[in-house]
Amino acid sequence: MQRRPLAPWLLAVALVAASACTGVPEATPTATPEGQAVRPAATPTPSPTPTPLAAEPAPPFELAADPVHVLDTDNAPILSTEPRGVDETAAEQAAQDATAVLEAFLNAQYTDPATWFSEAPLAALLTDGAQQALGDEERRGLGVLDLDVQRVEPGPASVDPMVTMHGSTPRHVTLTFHAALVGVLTSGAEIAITQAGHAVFVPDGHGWRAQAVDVTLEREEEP
Amino acid sequence: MTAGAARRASALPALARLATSLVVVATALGLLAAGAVAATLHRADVRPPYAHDGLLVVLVIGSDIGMPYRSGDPLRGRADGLHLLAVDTEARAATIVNIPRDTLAGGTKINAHLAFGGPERQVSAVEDYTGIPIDHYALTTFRGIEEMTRILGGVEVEVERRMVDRFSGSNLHPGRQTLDGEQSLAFVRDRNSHPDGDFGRTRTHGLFMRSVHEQVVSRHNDLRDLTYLTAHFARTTVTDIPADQLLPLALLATQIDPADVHQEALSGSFGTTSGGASIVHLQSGDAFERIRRGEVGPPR
Repeated sequence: MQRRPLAPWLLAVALVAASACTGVPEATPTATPEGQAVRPAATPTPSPTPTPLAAEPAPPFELAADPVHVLDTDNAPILSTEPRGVDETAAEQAAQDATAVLEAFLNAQYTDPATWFSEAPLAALLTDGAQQALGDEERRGLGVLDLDVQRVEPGPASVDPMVTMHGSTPRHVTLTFHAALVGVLTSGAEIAITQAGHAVFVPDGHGWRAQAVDVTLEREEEP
Repeated sequence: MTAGAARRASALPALARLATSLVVVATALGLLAAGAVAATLHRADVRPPYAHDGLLVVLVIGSDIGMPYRSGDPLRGRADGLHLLAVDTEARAATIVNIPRDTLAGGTKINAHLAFGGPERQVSAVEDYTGIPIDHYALTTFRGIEEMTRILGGVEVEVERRMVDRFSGSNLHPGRQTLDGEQSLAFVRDRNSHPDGDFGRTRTHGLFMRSVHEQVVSRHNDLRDLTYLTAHFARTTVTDIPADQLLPLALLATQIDPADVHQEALSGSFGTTSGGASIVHLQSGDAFERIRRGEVGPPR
């Protein structure tokens, strides 16, 4: 049985609907001095030396901290000796110090354009060993922003600290955090950015720095 | 029928087709709009490597002193569990060798050296017996096993046979099951349910260690969980592993596929000393030699 061809009008409707949903902006032809129309690229070509357009930093991030969980590594229970006890004040201070490092990183990496695309925020956040383990994907995951982001505004951010103690000595501070941001693109469009995950801080002679991290950076935008 | 009516009548199927098509297009537009948010996701999972040249060898010791069964100093008990854990930190493979406690070494049972001189003396005795340099020891007790099992939410093991033993308190049927702290302790202490006695018991220790590893890798791989487990490992063991190396070691452990952990099956014979004490004449084959050569993990 011979199939009837698709009605032309229906095909036209489908094509219009498809083009409305691709999110790729229709490029407007421009005329060259010779009079020939040139269709510019649909997306901007990255510049080798990116320059943020916004000179002023956005308001800083403030991480809302949950109560500190304290883990005691005293093995008195298996040795049947008198428990040493934990210095809760030292644990609280360690949590605050590590949280301050994370907060400074989020601000340097996102809200302050002066420190974008530099190694300084990562060097302040990570131990030397952790920095050596960074590859391209890890750098992207730790907030190397796309070149079309003009400005970033902080949103709600929270942190859940856990401190491992040996008597009065804090050994690790593990921060589980979630930070929401709003990015403004060079096109003026707004995108939702979320940085979240875990970071394990140790005292390494440079204050508290992260020995290990497992974080994600998610960017959501409408076409 | 008039011509107009005829035209109207013939247009009805076409109208129906138009309406249907519009519904399809509208539905497609709706579906496209719902999924029109573009999302990109990047992940930074940075776990620095454990810095160690060559093979890492840890002597895992289970002391027979400690609550709830025996009071006293666990560091001066008898090493009723003795296991060499050899790890190739680059190839990410490991071998566990279970050494029966009654193995004749240095004129006495190998496990007595813990009572004679603590973990360091026990390490020296095993080094002399196997010819394998040992980097660290990790000693735990009955309560340590119970506590670690509790922290893990139970340990899932494959019980090979019916285990019923009044001395250890075991009462387990064959099959895969999750053991609580009390059951775990009975599981690793029971030697009377095994036809090969203490060989079976020490083999069970290795099985328990592999089960714990497998469980940590599959269920507790995120950094917060690992930090939590590392803290409790420190709480339930006495070890000379530096405190700042515990977390890197835990991270290394999660990067070792359980399929790349090999458990050596040693055999031997039972005997007695002139004084009537039971001893084991161990036949280790080339197990120690292979580890000395750096060959760990499943045989190739």
